[in-house]
Amino acid sequence: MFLSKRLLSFCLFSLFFALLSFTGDELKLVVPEGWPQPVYDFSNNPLTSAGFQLGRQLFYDPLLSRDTTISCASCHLQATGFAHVDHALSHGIVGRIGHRNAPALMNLAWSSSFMWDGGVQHLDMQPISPITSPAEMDETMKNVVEKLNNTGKYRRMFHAAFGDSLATGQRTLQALSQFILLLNSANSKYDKFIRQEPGGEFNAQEMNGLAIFRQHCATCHTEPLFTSGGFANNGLPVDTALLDFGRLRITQHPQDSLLFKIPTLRNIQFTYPYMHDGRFKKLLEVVNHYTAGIQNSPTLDARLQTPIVLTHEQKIDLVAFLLTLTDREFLFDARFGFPRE
Amino acid sequence: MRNLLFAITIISLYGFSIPPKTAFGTLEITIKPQLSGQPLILTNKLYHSTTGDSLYIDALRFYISAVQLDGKTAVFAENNSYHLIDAEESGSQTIILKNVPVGTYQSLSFYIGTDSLTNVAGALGGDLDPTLGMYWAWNSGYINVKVEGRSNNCPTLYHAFEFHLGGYMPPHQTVRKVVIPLDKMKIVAGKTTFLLVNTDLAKFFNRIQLAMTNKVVIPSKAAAQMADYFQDVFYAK
Repeated sequence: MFLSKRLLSFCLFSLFFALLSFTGDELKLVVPEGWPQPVYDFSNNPLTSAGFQLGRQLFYDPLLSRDTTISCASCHLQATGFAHVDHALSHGIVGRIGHRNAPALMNLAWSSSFMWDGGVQHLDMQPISPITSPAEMDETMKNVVEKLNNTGKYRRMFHAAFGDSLATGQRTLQALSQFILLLNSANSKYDKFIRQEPGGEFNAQEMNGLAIFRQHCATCHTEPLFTSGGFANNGLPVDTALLDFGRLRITQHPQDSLLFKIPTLRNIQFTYPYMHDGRFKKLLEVVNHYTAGIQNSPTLDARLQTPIVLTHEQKIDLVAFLLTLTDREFLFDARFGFPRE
Repeated sequence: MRNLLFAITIISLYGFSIPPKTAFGTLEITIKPQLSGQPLILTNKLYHSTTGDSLYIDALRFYISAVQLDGKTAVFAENNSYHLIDAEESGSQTIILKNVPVGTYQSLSFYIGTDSLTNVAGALGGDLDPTLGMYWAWNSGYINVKVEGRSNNCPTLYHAFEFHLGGYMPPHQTVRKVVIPLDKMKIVAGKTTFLLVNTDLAKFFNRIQLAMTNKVVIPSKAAAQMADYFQDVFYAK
């Protein structure tokens, strides 16, 4: 009997200790009403508040770059939908300029490929591209991990998030994913309109804009994510300085020449300039491209073969609708901002 | 209640102590990088290929996955089987397979590289950690084989050649299966059996000319072709 008592207390003590050592409270991504299930497999990287906070710290830390000058947030600013407002191409260390527009970051738990050319297949692996690109952070993953292991603050944060103070490539990337996965924008005026909530009352112009959108744009920019997640040649003439043929570089299939990722339109009011090379500064320029600027080529998307005809008033209404995709709760959510200590 | 707990504890303890029906042994595989029958020495030793190249090798790293042993009655497949073999790290050149069922085995098989699911599984640890320099960023996926070195025949910067063989998507898959016949290798209960697998890079360099082929660093037809060559470097003595 004595044995069993000791065994029982030992078991209880172990259980108690196990619970204590797990400081990361579980977090959950709430799937907005009417949305599909996320594609990210959370079972391999369960969200915890400690993991999220570590990812947030990493996202805002220039330590990730070779000379400690550029962080993820340098080109992905929260107030502009985590895009690089007013900058056509991404910026890197010592004034280097990349060759594509830094995309907005939101609702990426629903994305199955990343980068304008879809060259990255998993969210966890996406940060390796900007970290190691010579035109961006120009650092190695090995050095990043070494720098993190030499920083007391990070050792504590890794311990809180993973139960072990050692930073590894895997944990660093998983923590970044935990932060990025929760950047969920689903409270725009449009969302409230769909959910028939207060603040979601559309005026006649916005209603008309929605109808035009659904007729001409929604097969690529599919609701509710406002992207189908696919790739398309949307008839942009090739920029002669960049000579960027998009997805061709990844697949080397001629049919993928000039295909780029279809971006989400959420928070598009603030994510300018637009397109993979940031060539358009204003939404009306984008709309005009689709009505009058489409350049025919062998890989032009079938959905753009027939010209879109819109009156000037219809264009204005369409833009009015696009502005309803602005989600101020997301853009100013303090949880996603710079981590003040 | 206490009695019940006691009973459960005793039963579960007893459960663990039942002797296993099958006996197990250990296999220690050593993968030895060589060139023309000589142990591979990085950076400082000049090698000659039959295609007329004199060359130095600076780096040799490759993934081995899904290690399996096959016999007439026994089969053993290693769990979570991913190994990064690095010519610079002798510790990486030993693979220890524990709990191999006792028996006689006719072949050892493994893949060079990692399967497509691993390439899209997200951030992984251990030998698959992306800090190990065997992961491509912009066209993402694991590099299966890295061979780097120098030859005066290379019309490149520092006369360097660079082969980073990878790619898991059709039409340029570069993962290759290697099957090595074994001479009735025996696994004995509670004992360790040693197996030496040589990798003779001559079988790779004797099929290329460095003046023409010196840089293959993206998933491509050339990478698939070189993966075929690399498949042939393995043999057991």
